[in-house]
Amino acid sequence: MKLYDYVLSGNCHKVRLLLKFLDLTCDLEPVDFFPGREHKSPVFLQINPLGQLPVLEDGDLRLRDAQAILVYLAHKYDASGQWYPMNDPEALGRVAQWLAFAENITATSSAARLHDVLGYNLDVDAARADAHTLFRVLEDHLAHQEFNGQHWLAGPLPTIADIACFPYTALAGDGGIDTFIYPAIERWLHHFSRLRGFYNMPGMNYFA
Amino acid sequence: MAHFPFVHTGILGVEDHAEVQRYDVSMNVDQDEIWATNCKFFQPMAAAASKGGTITEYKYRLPHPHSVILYKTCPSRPGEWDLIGLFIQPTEKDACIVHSFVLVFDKNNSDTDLLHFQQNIFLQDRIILENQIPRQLPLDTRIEIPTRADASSIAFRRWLKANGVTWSTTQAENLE
Ligand SMILES: N[C@@H](CCC(=O)N[C@@H](CS)C(=O)NCC(=O)O)C(=O)O
Ligand SMILES: [Fe+2]
Repeated sequence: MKLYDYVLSGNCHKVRLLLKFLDLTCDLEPVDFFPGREHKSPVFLQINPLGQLPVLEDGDLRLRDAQAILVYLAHKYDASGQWYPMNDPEALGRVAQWLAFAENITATSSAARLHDVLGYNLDVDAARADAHTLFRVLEDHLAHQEFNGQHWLAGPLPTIADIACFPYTALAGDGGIDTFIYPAIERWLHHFSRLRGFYNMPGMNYFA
Repeated sequence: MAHFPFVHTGILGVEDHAEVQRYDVSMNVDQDEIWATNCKFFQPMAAAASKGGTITEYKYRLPHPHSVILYKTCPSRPGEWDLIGLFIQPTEKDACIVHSFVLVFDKNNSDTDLLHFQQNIFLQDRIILENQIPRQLPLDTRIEIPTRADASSIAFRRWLKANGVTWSTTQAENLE
């Protein structure tokens, strides 16, 4: 397996984490995302016409989009079915719902981080405000889950939905978005960081 | 160096080797530069080219209040130095853009490998720096309790004071 990877990418970290959780080995192909913008080069656009990371290759399969890669890896390599509960339609629906939500976190929280860390030219105030709107929804949901004795997004056990929503929530501070005002989110982040195989990417400081 | 084991765990330091040994700090009067020399630290992965843990020697050079150049033992060429430079461009009193360079001897890693290695380190530092309080550098000795390991930061603060630099610094009377 080969993962086209950027060390500072939270979307790549989603894939790196699931690989670790499932004890899978994978070659990392580093892409000069910054400052080289290699992901927009003609050569890379052949690999992913959207010019985005991550991209995974496994045998003849080439997949883009972190969430799609998580679905594939979990379905194929997690025999327990915990990470992607394919035999439980309701759970599957909830997982898909939060996978879509993860995309919105990327569009807001990650955008603010790209502005602050890599100097991207975008409306950072709007990105931060929109991220807060999402985090309020996430906070309410996680608090509700806690009342039901559940600590994960889609049910009693962690799924790829938690993986997909984790990095850009944990890295929100890099983009000037304070998540300390969301106690249930903070508890969920710490909970997540205690999963066996978890490791930080730069910008995260979770200690076992 | 003291932060290596805790901020760059497994790369520039390990928690079992946290001690900062005595190093030398000198003021180069002719060129008005500060040098910290003879700095030695155990590093598991000193550079992308590293093949395992080694004692790395550093020289830290401050040619300007907003620039620093690090000379560090080159893992692949004994006797040579690898260089890392940071040029800080202040944009506000508590905000800046950091420009950097990395000059290393390394036959095995691609430029992209080196970029990833260094950006990983820089982003580990960023979260610590951005969360420091006060946000502007304290110059008054009463504000901090330095240890021997902080000798170079103390020299830096003295140097700024001696040169009358106040931009982006915190004076004791401004601390609530
Ligand atoms: N839907 C994609 C979004 C991926 C994405 O935004 N990747 C970033 C790096 S973390 C990227 O390549 N951005 C470049 C761009 O969107 O032009 C996914 O979840 O993988
Ligand atoms: Fe550092």
